[in-house]
Amino acid sequence: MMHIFGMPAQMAFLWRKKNNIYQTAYDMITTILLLSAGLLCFGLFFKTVDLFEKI
Amino acid sequence: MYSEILGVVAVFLLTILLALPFGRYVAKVYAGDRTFLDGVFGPLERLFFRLSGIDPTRQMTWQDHLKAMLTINLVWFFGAMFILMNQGWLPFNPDGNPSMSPDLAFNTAISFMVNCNLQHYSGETGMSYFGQIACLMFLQFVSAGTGMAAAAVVFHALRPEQTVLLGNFYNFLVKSCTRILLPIAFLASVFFVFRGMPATIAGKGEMVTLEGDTVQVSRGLVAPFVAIKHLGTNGGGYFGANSAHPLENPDYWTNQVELFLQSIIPMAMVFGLGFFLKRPKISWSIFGVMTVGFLLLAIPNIYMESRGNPALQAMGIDQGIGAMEGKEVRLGSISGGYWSILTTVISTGSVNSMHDSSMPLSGMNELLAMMVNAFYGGVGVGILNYFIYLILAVFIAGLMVGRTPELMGKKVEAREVKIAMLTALLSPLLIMGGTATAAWLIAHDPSIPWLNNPGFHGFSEMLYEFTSANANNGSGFEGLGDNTPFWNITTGIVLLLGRYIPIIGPVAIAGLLASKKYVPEGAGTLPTDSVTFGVMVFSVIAIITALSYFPALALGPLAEYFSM
Repeated sequence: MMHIFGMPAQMAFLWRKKNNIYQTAYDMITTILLLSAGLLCFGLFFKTVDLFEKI
Repeated sequence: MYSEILGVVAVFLLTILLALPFGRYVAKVYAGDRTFLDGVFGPLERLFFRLSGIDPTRQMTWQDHLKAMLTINLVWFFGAMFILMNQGWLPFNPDGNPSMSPDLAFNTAISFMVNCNLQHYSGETGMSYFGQIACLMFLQFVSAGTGMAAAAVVFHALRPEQTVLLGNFYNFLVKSCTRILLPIAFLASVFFVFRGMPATIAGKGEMVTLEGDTVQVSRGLVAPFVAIKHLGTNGGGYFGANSAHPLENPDYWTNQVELFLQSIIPMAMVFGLGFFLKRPKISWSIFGVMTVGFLLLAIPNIYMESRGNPALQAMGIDQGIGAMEGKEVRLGSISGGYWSILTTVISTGSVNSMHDSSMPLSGMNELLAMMVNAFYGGVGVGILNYFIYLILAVFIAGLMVGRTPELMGKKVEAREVKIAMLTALLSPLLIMGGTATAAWLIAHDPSIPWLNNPGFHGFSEMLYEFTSANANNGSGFEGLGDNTPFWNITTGIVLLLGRYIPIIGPVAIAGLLASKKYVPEGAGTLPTDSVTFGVMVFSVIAIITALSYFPALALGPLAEYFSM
């Protein structure tokens, strides 16, 4: 768990300090991942509506 | 001190008094009756619906309502993420504040979209004016409107007739904003401006302090933001210190009006249900349970905060005006104690004192208020959360008397009870699961820089953060260092789950009940608007909350209290 949450944050911190290109790349990847996570949650909610219809 | 007590009692009673006629007005709005604001907002609404291609008269089923709600919220999520991550170069940024990092934007966008306003940034340095107004203030209106629209669906579903058609979601949403939120927010913001709250698009101002130093003072469109922040039970501060900041709560009268604003709609929604169904007794039954719960939390808090901190007393520090650590001298300990419960009961999450400095048992009451989340609750969603407890109470009472449970003439069967149970059990799962994960991480790596307070209080800080996120409250024990990827992402997910499942569940149950045949109440029907049934619902709430959360409370605030 520590590595899942801790490592990317530490690496991102180092990248940001080193180079703007890495920062941009990090921000882009993180943004895509977080938007996907949000989308996934909303997909879950749509599925919950269907589930409650059939429960 | 007596005048302080008189102040909070007066504002509480005045709110109840005004919530009655306002509840009648709310019922008229959702019933589609004519109101005095039709002439002003009717043409605007028609223009909006024509431009967006929405037919506000198209009737929707409960599934259509929920899908419409989720779709429009998803659009707001993407829009908010875009603005927050690009506000640095977007217009109206006179102070040159930067764009947000992806994880902070994720947390902030979700937090304001779900009516929580948990803030892992400080407005002075973390937001542009464009971000504050076009993103956050917009979301404060529409997220409050979303909760109220969902409650309106339940209002329609509880009518006696058998139907699957429950009005139009977009119509409820727009009317919640234009007929209820916007007019009051406008009046309140004008009042706030006259009391000294800034409303300007100019950048930081310069002022000379009493010591002769020149300092930069952040400003902005504070007055309109604060009005909807309270009216919509959003709670997100324009500044980092929220309503403890002198420009966000300049004096005693703004403090009283902010207290009034955050409770008027949740109370009015309860009365609105009774007026809508033409069954005022059910409203009084619900309101009675909510008020007893509220007072059982608020009175001890006011007492504990006004009595002062015994540990400081033992050190010879005078506690004559109460426990003043983390409180505003101009507002006092009683106002701080009352506000801390009102804001957690009602899910506003704004603060005029720092909850991290509350006495241990006051902190426990603040946690309990959010764990129950149904004593008044947030705009619209408070009554939805109560509806879940109502279903469970009807089911248990039905088992006890050996009858098929009924609620307002509709049989409550296995499907409704399963949905109610799933919804009710989600909150402990999110709060306990999140806190356990955070505690595990800290235990395995104490060097993680989140906690400034190790031990019981540190545990309370983590428990509070997840409780606040799940309850969509937004207040915090601010000793926790929460602007980290872990807290931003985990609380972001909890915010989403803690918002939408507790809306989907009650709306689904109400929709299922609406499609059932109405059975007129007879001699064998368990009356759900009696005092006895009110006691039953209160007991169900108390038992579920105690069973779910007592172990965690024992590890945090209770342990801290006994170690003092």
